[in-house]
Amino acid sequence: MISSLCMKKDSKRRFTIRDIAAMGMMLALIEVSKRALEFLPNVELVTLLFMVFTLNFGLEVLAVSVAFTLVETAFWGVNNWVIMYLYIWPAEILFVHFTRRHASYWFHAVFSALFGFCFGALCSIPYLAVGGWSMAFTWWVAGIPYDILHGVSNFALCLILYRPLMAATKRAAVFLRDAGRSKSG
Amino acid sequence: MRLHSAEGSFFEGCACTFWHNITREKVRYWIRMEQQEKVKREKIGQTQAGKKKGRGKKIIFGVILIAALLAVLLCVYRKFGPKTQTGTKAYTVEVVDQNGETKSYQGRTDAEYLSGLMDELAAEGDFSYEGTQSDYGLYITAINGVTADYDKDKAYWSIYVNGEVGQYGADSQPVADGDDFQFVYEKGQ
Repeated sequence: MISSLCMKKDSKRRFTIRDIAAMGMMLALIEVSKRALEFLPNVELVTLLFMVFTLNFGLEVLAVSVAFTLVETAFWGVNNWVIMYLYIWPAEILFVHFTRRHASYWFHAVFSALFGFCFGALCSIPYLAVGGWSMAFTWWVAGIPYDILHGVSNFALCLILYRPLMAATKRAAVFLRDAGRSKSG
Repeated sequence: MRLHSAEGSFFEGCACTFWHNITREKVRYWIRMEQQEKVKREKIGQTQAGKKKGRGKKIIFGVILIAALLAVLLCVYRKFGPKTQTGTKAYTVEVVDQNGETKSYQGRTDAEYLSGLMDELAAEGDFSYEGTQSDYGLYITAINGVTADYDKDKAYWSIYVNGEVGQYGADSQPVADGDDFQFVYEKGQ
């Protein structure tokens, strides 16, 4: 069972400077991992990193996901995928956060595989508004080979990197929490 | 309760003080404690085995779920994915450049994919294209000498099939009889 190490915040201030710095580091890690694996189609660490960060930092990772979408938009320009990114990563974060009490290594490995398989289907939702069911369905079907690759790679990466990443992130979260306490104390 | 009398020991008369002091109650107490320990150990063992068994079941369920979804995806792709047509097919190809000027090509082809049709047109001499092979398939960088450089000004060559945005790359876009293909120079925002 994984317990969230969410830091308690001052009720007046939503984020402390320490939170913002931590979120900046999370964003940097996600961006660097994305750039590093860009040469492999649909192989990414973003899903796993969002998952691990959510388990250790809680819902403040939602802000990181929005910042991630903004950085990607600044780099690649505005397109349909911006809308997809604005709901797909928050959906993952919310799911991971609200199932964290039942979560385990295998639970998250299976979830990341299913998330990869369903990524195209989730991304096709905006096309329902643009061109109806037929356009959304055709768009989804065209990307199925990449969805399969996405799911398989997510599963493998989660099996390999989940435990070390969880250990490192948990240590960072504890360090930040303790630093916050000693500062306020 | 003692073995022989209320005061006497089980080992009365023995020279050893340790054995001399052992009473039947003590022996029963030890036996009872031993039995309790045994039951406790068995319970813990059963709980751990149960947990392991439960976790094993969850893992098996997860793997079955993955396999099932994978099978569904493969079936859907096989049924509704791109299908090629053999034989001669009529086609129309239009190239719309950065100035909006259009150049049209019409004819018949045996090519199964759009990239094959483009190769045929290029061999005829009035059409040219350049592209790179990426992990996503053929990425068109230039048509008829007009290069779209995404890194420079977010420009790219779009493929339209029968008036709709193409869902496949040129090397996986099937050619059907009467298809109308458009290559349009576009810029991102």
